[in-house]
Formats: sequence, C-alpha cells, structure tokens
Amino acid sequence: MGALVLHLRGTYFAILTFGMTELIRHTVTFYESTVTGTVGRMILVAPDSKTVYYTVLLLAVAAVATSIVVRRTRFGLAMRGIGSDEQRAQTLGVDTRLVKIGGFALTAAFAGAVGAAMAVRWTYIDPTTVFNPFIGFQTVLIALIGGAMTLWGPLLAAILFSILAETLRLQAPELYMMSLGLLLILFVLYLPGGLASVRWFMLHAAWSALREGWRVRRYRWSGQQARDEARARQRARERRHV
Amino acid sequence: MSELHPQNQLPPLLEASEITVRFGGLTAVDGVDAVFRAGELVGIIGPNGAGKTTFFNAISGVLRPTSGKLLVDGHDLIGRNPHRYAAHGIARTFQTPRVFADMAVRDNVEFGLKFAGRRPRPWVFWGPETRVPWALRTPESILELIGLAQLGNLPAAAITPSQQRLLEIGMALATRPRLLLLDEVAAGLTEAELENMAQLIRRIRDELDLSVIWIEHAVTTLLRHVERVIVLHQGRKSPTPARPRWCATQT
Repeated sequence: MGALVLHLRGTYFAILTFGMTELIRHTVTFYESTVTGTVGRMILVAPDSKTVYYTVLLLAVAAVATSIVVRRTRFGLAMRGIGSDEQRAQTLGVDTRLVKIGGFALTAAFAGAVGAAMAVRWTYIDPTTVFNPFIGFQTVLIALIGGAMTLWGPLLAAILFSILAETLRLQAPELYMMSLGLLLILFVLYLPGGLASVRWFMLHAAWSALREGWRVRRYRWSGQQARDEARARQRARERRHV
Repeated sequence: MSELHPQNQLPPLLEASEITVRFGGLTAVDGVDAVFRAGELVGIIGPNGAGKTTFFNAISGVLRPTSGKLLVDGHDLIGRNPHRYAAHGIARTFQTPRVFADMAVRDNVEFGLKFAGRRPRPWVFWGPETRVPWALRTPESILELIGLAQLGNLPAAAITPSQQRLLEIGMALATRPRLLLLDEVAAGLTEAELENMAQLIRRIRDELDLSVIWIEHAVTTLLRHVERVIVLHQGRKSPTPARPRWCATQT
C-alpha cells in the first residue's frame, strides 16, 4: 500500500490514503456480505480489560522507545531531511522512496498492533467501526496539537486530548465533534508549531496580555472610563470659558 | 584544446547526447550534446529562459529528459532517481538556496556525508573512511573550506542568503562528488563577493580533483575563470569559437 500511494506528495497523498481506507472498507463489506454472508465478527472469549490495558501500554512504551531510537539513526535523519526538502535530500543521496516506505511501514505496524489489541475490547467488530475515518483523523489532530516534528508534544497532546474527548463525550455529546473541530482551527491559526512550541515566556506573555485586557475591560465596564472622559470634557469646557 | 591533448583521452565523466526536455508544447532544451571530463571547469551561459537550469535538472536526475542519452561514468542513468546520480559522484546546488532550514549549519553539511558521501571504513563501523580528500573528511573541514567555520552551530535559517549559497556548495561537496554542478551560486553577490566565490570554485576544482560546471549570469567574471564555455540560446547550443580570445586561462 505504501508503494502504491507514496509517489504522491502532500495533500494528494493524504487524500489518497483516506480514499484507500474507504475502498478497503467497502471491499471487505462486499466480500463478507456476498461470499460469507455475514458482516462483522463476534468475539466470544474477550480477555479482561486489564490485559488489554497492559498490552496497549506496552505498545505505547515500545512506540516511544522506537521513536527515540529512530531519531538518532541515519533512517531518522533521512526522514527529517525528506520532511524539510524532499528533492534536496534526494540529490544528497537519500533513496527517498525506500525511506518513505520504511517510515510508512513502521508507523503502520504500531497502528495495526494497537488496533489488534484494542479490537478484542468490543465483543463485536465490523468493517464500519474498524475503518472509521474519525480514528485516522484523530491521530492527525493529536499530531497537529502536539507539534508534528517533536516527540513529547504529541505524547502530551494524546493524553490531554483523550481526557478531553472522553469527558466531552460523556458530558456534552452534542458539542463533542464541534469542539474538536474548533480546537483544530484554533491550534492551526494560533499555534502552528503545536504544544511543543510553547515556551515559558509565551505563557507569561499570554498571562500578562490577559491581565492587561481584563484591566482595560474593568476600567470600561465599571463606568470609570466614562467618568474620566466626562471630567476631561468638563475641564476642556471650563478652560475655553476662562 | 586539440584532440591530442592528454585531457581529451580520459574517459568522460558525464556524456550527454541529444538531451531534449519538453514541457507540453514548449521545448526547453533541444538536443544538447555535451561531454564533461575529469578536472574541467566549464561555464554555461545564456539569456533567461535559455534552458540552462532545465539542462542541469536533466543531467542531475531531478527531471527526466524527454529524449536523449546520458552516460554517467559509463552508466546509463536516464529515468533513475537523483540519489543514483549522487552515488555516481554528481552533486548539484539549486538556484534558490535549498538548505535544511531547521537544522544547524554543521548538520546540513553532515547530511551529505552520511548519505551519498559515505565511504567504506577499514573495520566496517570504525576507522577513517578510505579514499577521501583531507578537506572533505569531516563537516568541520568542509565548513573550513567554504569559510563558514564560525557559523557551524547556527540554524541554517539564521545565516544570510549569500552564506546559504556557500552552505549549498558545502552540502554538495559533502557528497564527495566528482562532478559539481553549480546553478547560479553567485547570483545577487557584490563584486568583491563574486570574485571570492570564483576563487573558491577554482580552489575547489584544483585541490579536490573534481570537475565543475558553473551556470552564471555574471558573464565577465565567469569567462575570466572557466576554461571552456557552453552557450545555450532558446534551448539550443550555440556554436562557440574553438579558441576564444577571452579565455584568459586557456593553455
């Protein structure tokens, strides 16, 4: 699949991968309904949630460890170069096709492993839940919120995002998708580098800007501003008449 | 140079024949023949839109020529990816500096050393790389050569455009090439910087035992330093006199 879609770049690549997912979903559904006559699978022996939890935790640790290791290797350097300027990396001797397929396979392996581990949690799986485009969208959202180039950004974002998403889904299900969309828009507009690009001075600046803005508003809303302006007008009038 | 000149008996490093590049109905490069041998310093001149850069893209693998033959060191590389060209010792710079902006200057240079510039070591993972000129041994020595030794730790986005052009040359040199293609490396430089750049290019050619093809708009400076010149006009090669008067270094 990687070899099939990787000759495309940027947006086209993203769209084609989403399209491929849909294609596979429909193919599987078609196959199941015509050949086997059933849609989905029942899982009769579901392991308890503790086992699932530890498996997924182990996979998460393995993913972070792999990411730390890959960053220090030639493979990681090659991917960084491709991310920065693909053609330049190519003219400096990187076999970009090979590296991209490798990166694709590595990430897909982790995604697949987690999917397989999580699938046993639901006792019934069918193509519609498995190929739900929102899951793919969610990972992209987490990467964007965290900062795509860094390691700790997406990690932090994943934790925050999951807590937020679960809380919203329980407390305000009608606002759930809307607020996620809003979050994405806000991050893309105001923090394109993601959470990882936040520095202390930015927090300080944001805090003092907030206080300043609040001070101005309090001045206006308390009526003090109007009184001061009236007094200034009064003084100007008196000065003219004297 | 006559046919009997010793340099003409060396096998050609890059042999391009009848290279044609068409974009739809527009013929950007129209049947250009060129042979580049070891140790040459060749200039390519021509007005804007003459197809100089397109010709470069075609012979460095960035662009697949519509037709023509291209032998790099005896290997036919038409249609192969640029990294194959780099592996055969062809390095190039780009017209607008394309450095890895988020990496340090030193890491930019090291990138080439780790990919196309990688040479076998005596004990696989240890020991100095074999058959590498002294000046191209480490990123530091390359930075020394191009004169950016002081700026190694700065991010590449922070240095001036003219320094980025130097860094482009350094990145190309880091692949330990045998043929260096320079695409307007001196564009936008002042008179003094231009002369320094020309001196640097000649030094690289003389000391590192490689051939250089240099595209430039500053024709007078270029002609003072190159040994041979190819004139492109509307995608075609214009005939040049066999022994032009302006070639100061002609022997």
